[in-house]
Amino acid sequence: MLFNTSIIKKLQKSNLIGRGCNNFLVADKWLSVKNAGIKGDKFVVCNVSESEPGMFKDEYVLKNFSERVIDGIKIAMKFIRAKKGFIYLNPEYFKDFQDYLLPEISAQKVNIELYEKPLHDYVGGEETSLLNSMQGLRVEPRFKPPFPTTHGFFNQPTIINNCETFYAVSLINSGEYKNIKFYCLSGDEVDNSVKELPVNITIKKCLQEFGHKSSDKYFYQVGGGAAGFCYNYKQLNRAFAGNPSIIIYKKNRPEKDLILHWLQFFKNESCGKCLPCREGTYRLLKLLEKQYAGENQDQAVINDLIFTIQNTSFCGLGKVACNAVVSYWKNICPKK
Amino acid sequence: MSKKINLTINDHAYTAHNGETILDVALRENIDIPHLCKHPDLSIQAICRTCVVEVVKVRLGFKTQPSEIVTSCSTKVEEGMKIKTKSKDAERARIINLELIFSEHIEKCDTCIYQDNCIILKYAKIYNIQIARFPDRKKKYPIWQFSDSIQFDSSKCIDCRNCVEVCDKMQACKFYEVADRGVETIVKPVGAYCNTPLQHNIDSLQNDSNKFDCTYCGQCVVHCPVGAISGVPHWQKVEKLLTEKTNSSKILIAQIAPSIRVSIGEEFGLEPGKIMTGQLAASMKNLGFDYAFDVNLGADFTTYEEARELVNWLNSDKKRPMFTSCCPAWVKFVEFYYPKFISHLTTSNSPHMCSGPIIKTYFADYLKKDPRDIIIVSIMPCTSKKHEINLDTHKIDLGWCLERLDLPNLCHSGSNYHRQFFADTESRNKKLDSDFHQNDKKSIKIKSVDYVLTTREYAYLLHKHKIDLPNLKPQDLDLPLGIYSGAGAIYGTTGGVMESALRSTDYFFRVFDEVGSLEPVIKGENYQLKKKRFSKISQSRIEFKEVRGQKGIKTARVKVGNRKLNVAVINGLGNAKKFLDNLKQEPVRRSDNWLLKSGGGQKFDYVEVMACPGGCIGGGGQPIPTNSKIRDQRAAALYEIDKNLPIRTAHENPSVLEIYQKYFKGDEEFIEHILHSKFKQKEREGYTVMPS
Repeated sequence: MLFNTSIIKKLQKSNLIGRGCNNFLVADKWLSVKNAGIKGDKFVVCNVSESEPGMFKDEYVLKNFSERVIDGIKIAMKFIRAKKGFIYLNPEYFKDFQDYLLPEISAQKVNIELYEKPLHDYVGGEETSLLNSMQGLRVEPRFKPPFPTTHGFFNQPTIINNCETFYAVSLINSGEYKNIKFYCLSGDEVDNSVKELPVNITIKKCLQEFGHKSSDKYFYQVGGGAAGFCYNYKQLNRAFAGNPSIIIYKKNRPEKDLILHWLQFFKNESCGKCLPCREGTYRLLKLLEKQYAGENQDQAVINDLIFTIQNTSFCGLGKVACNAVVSYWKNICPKK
Repeated sequence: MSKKINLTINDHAYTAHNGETILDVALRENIDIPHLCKHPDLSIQAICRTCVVEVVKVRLGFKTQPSEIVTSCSTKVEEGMKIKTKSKDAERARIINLELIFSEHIEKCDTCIYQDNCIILKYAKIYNIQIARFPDRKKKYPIWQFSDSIQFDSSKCIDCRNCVEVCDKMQACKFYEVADRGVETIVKPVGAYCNTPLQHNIDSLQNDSNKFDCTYCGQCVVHCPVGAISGVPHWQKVEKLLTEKTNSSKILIAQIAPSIRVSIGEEFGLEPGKIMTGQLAASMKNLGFDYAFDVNLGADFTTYEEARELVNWLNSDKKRPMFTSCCPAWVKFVEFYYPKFISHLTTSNSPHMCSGPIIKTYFADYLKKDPRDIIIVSIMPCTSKKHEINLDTHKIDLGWCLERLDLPNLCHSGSNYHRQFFADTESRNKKLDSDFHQNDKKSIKIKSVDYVLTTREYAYLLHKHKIDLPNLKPQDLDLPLGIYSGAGAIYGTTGGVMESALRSTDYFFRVFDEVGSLEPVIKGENYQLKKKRFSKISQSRIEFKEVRGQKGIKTARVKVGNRKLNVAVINGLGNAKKFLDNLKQEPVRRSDNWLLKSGGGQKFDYVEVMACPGGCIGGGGQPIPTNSKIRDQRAAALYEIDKNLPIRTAHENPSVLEIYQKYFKGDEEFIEHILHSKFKQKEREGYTVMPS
């Protein structure tokens, strides 16, 4: 009991926010699972689905701190008295890391199972899609509420956190947490790299830390290679929103390739559940393909489509599907 | 008492209950918000996104209260909420979403029986939708047909998944699945291969698709908002017969099911539960049918036989319970999913499968007509009946009848009814006989019923021929097969078959106890009259209110004769599955019976199951929309009919007794042939791909 109250107090004091992209307080989530008032087992799931382009910090964490991650899961399991935990891995990571993780799990004597996600897909990282996948159901988001904190894995209360969150939990528990987190940098003329930097850093400062000199020659996609916003070099004095990732693009990249690439991604990754995402992303892509091929298209319809996809999609994937495109036209290269 | 919540919709103040959604409140207040994937029978899906509205929620402590667009079907009301259903942004998104719906739905309005009450066409008009804004994507999508009952045209499907939900959650059949992802998502029968641009194949059920089959209940049809799933049309064939009638020797007979008289009015804008028997009789004549009969009489035969079988069953060592079998979807469900219970089904035919053979034998004699020249069209609330009429076990073997009965004119000649038919009995019999011998004494099997029209199809036919049903002058149904009892009338609702059978079982048990056998019953004697209503026999009970109501599983202990029976009444195949899974075989003294695991191990003697929610009144062929309130209204009307009838039990129906006395003459084998059928375990019948 002493342990239980102490970890939650530590988490509250650290103000730890989940390291996925939902900005939810870890202490709050854990408490609502603990107090869910539902009979039966509780579960902990560590999410290592990491499928956004430009994101590879989870891979870095697993590679370097797998024992910390498992320790974090163990703490969570102990806190909610879960008998079982899972690590949800995308197929590549499963292949690469199962030999690291399995011995570590048995060494720490904790009941954690590795779950290999069947496809390397984007929506599979969303927490309720993840649950569906683990239950052998169709991989698509569930209707919320109820939330996984009360009705998660097989409708039992479930903690789902990103793997970096568990790493941070482990640090907090042992008093080594320094309010820093991992950032990813990739793109034109740079190698993929990961750095541990303070939590509330600005984009500009982050780029400096990575040793990149921001300039007019480039533009930057911040928050993930699919859903991130595009900023020009003058707009970097702001905090990160969403994923801690920066992708550098040379400004002379052809607009058509970029736009179609982003839209293609969301069209391919849509799970097909709700209409605006399933049909809207497809129609938007087709209209723009035609437009770039020189055909005349009604700009009002394109705008309406974007508005509808952003505002009426079922889950986050649809809502962010036009972020890159819209911010590109707004900040980098106004649409002709 | 739930908390009251104050909110505004389009600047008008309303109060709502805690837990209601915006759409619930709007619909109650007659504010129309388009919605396609939301059905009151199903859980909230929130995937068609056409019900979007703009909302300002009160957030304490925040200066600005931004508006957001939400789906009204899934958003619960909150105190102080300001809802705008017609704001610029809400309409902007709604219009695009409706246009996207149209891009997934190929308009085949010419051949669609929903053309007059199509929901999406209605919205298209209201919102000035450009139907062809986006080119059709599903042109080459396949059409699947399930037996002769249900057609699924996936080129009209808008992926709302109501069919998947209803087939899985409500009917426990899991015959539909969603396969592939994104824009290639397709709803299809389990295991179907489709030659569309998809190739991911992530449908998990595909490997064991043989475990799932369609029962043809048609609930997917009534829950499909856009008519992608529909009953297999028979109306063209019937229409053709009607137009060609003048130069053919065929006699066309239509018969109406118990439940359609209280629902068909809805297709003409009337309230659910309006009783239209007289107008229906008139409409059948107007369309050109020679005779208009009532399946209620057939239902009386079913009751008579089923009650007789129940008495014999309970007097024997047979395994209990006895299940009803007048719902063909339920029968298919047992034959496919629970074959171990096949021997528990009563073999008595369903009502129109009783009246059909009686028309083609007894009434054919009466008309002195070759049974093959009689065409029977049943107007049914059901898609499964379309499948039932094709079953081999339901066909009449004319050769068998001919040899056995020597088919003379058995009918009474007292009435001068229909003297215009003077076909020569002898020549008819000769022809039948020669056909029979030419066939090398093999059987000449004919269908008991030739076509089944659903309530919707029949209404469509009337609309097409400009027959305004509500304003027709009511007529009587044709004699001698038009007389029915209240027991037949209530067949259309859940609990109706049970109640009808109990009324007669009560009487039959009294007869049995007095006489020691069911001899008078088989001979069709009105024992009550014979005993001048002073013996104990005449004290039979009429109303069994404990088996009424729309609850999914009802159980009761009822007294019939001097026995107490445990009965259960079930509607919805999902509930049936629940019930069957909870039954376990008890190795008891006399015979092995099935009892409920929970509920103190209650044993059951007699169980009624209807596949559709509420019974036939909520059937797969009924007008759309249907929901629990509408089903309640339809059911209430049926009980009203029953209450007002002079004869309320099958065993007092003079038409039934006359046929037993004068036609069957106590010949049990003959009764068996005409009014009973057999069941056997079924392999998956699945689907056939139709040319699109």
